Amino acid sequence: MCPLGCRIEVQVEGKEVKGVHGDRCKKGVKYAQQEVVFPGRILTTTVRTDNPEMPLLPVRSNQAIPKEMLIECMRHISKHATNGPVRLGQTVIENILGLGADIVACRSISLELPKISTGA
Amino acid sequence: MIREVDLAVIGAGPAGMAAAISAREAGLDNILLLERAEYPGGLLHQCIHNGFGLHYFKEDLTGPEYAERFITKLTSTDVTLCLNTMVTHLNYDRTVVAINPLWGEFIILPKAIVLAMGCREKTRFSIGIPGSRPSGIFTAGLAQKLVNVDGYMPGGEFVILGSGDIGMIMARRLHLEGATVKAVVEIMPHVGGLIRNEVQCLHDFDIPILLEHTVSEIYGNGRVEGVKIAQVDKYGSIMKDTERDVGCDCLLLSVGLIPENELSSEAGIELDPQIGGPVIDEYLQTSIEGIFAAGNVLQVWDLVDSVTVDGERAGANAARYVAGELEKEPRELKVIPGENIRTVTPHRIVGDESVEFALRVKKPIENAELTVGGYRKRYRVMSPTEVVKVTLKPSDLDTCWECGEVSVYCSERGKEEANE
Repeated sequence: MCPLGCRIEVQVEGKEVKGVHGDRCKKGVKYAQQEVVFPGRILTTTVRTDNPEMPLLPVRSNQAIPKEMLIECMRHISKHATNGPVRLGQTVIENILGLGADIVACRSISLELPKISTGA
Repeated sequence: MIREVDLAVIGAGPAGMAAAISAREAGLDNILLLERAEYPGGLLHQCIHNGFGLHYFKEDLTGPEYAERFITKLTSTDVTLCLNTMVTHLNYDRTVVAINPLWGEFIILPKAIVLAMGCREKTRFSIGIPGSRPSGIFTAGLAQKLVNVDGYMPGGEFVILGSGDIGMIMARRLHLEGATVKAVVEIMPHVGGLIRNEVQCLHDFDIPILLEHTVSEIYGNGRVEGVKIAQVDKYGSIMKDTERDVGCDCLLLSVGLIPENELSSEAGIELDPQIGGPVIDEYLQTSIEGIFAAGNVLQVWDLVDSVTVDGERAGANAARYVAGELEKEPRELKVIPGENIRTVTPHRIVGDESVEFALRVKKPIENAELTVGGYRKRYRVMSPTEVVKVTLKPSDLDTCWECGEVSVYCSERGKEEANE
């Protein structure tokens, strides 16, 4: 099952992908191969901030993380917190547990936004 | 205070933001975007998981990332964003009454309105689970806000009733945060949400899913101590002899969403009793001229990408209405849902342009053929959890105008071919 919703069949011999059926795009083929050879997931969670109005910052891994390492990564991320303003996409943890993926911010903190714009 | 504007958009979630931006791009000058929260973006901020934007941006984004793209775009326009602003009344003559800390109570006289209030969750009382009334019963979306935005864990051992997307996503989230999810319980014979969520949220973490089961009782003194889970028969009735106790300190309910239409009802807008949202034509115009609706207020969509597109269409059509380009034709085509169609929009067709239909099937079906008027399309699989969208050319409806109806139905291909 590809994230776009196509049901894909993969023929496997040993560790080798022999054939992919049911895909509707190239992304689907790549995903199906990946899912069989190296099942990874984007990890999304939060880290604490020092901003009382927004106590949590949503974060994600910028690449897939092996499924069996997700809980380990969660433990590691829970020890971190951010200080001060954060930009969307800013790296919060570099190369988490040596897996090659960075944990990056999913939103900005202190994005300039008027509380109410009067428009007058 | 009275404010005269071109367009008032109610709700600054994904539908409302898209509507305001597209109306501005279509040339409307004076737009008010009214939002009751402190921040635009709606529910996207608590949906920290990925899977957003695969269709719209061709990228895999999280909810907050998806929201920030539109917030950045919105704040670069001169659309007036009114935060902390609650709309208290909507009248049939299109006057809007709202209240906020800066202006107090004020009246808006817009030339057009886009309704983008979204939807809300059903509660324990919508489905009537018997038992005591301890603390520890949450809707899945509320629990999602507590965990993802406020930073609280609502419990330690969970049972989740309903396998809608939010329920399954919360199962994974709670598991990752160190809680135990004892079971996700679903009354239907298939999961309620997207298949990708069943795979990535439940199967990945070996969280048990109990199909054709339900919670038959909640018990606990002061705090939830456990629930009774029972199998249901093919009519959905509880089979008492299958009842068993499952200990937990928290029950999450992911039992469906209802379009939020208190304001629409007050204005006297005609609602579809099946969907709960306004009856619309292909321009997303409701039964009151100049009032448009978009996103989950209209029908509960499966993907935010579709909500954005809906918002853009409503905003652009509102702009056309204000410019006088949406003159109503004296003719009307009724859309009639037929075999295996649970919901279909639009409800009526008034113009002579291409029409986008959005529909859900009642039951999962393989080798399906969808028929809309003179248009046919084949599908390998259709599932009730997905909204299917098709666009018809005006010529596809030519034959329908004679009888004033267009019927929509979905049948199994093999069966029909055998009959022929």
